[in-house]
Amino acid sequence: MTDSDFEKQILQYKKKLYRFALSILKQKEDAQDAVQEVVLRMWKKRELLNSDENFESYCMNSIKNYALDLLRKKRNFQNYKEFTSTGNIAPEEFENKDLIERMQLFLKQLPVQQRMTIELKDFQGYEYEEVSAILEISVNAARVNVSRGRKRLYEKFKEEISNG
Amino acid sequence: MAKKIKIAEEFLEGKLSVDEIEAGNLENSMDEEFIDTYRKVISKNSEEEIPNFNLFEKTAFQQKKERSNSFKRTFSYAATVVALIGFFSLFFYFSTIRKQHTQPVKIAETQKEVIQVLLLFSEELNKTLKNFDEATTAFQPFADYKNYSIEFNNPIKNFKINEL
Repeated sequence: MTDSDFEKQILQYKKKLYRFALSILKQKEDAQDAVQEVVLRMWKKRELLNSDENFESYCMNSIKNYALDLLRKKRNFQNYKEFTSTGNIAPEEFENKDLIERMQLFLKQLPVQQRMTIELKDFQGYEYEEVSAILEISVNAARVNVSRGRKRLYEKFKEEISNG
Repeated sequence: MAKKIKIAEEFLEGKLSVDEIEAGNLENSMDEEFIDTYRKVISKNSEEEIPNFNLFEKTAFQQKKERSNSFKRTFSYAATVVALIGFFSLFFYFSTIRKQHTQPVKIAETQKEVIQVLLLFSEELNKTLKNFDEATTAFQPFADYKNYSIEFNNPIKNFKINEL
């Protein structure tokens, strides 16, 4: 792949890459950094890359790998419970937030595997086969993760509604 | 009338996507509200602008770094070559000058040595000729003395004893 081809291709996926990185890392700065780092790594290997349909999947997969590595490293330095746990959200975070914003917070509280599959399936519109290729899991595992995430969101939503 | 969808079975199990669920087609108002909120979250997420960051920031930095490193490498290589050439030039220059200075002294020394050798040779030659002459005289056969003229060769031919 030539330099200009690479730039054209990668610019098409900027939004998707950033959103996927953000869904894993939750921090905007970390997401930006992850995307730039992955672009750099891919740029180094651009001559080996083919501009076929797998390029998008390859980009997303690279983001996933890098972001998960970053999470692991962060967890080694600090108690990074929020990335894996489904712990409760502090009450002050809910103040003055509408239902949509609360749903977004619930979404952030999901375990990383469920968050990734929901982001790819529901928010970015990928099919289960594509999700499985990006995350390197089976189609069935992708479906199970989506299902578990949706169920958890549904439970949280019901709790919110019943609590008024 | 369309059959009411059981949200727990269809959506939460991951069999349907949120776009495939039509409004008013769900079992109860709670499910309706959940799907509606979920849809709004997706819509809000996709409409949200991503930060305007340079995707190739790290790539550009890396390229700059590589260029700088390449320049440094080339410069140090060139500097080494120049230093080596300079060193050898100086070496040859000084060795030539030294040679030029030492040449007249050397010539004089050689001349002196040659003269001494010639003198020694001449001395040795004289000695050898003398020895040869004596040896020739001493060992010549008696018959050769037949024609020996005492008158001619006698050194005391004209020696007068009375005049002593």
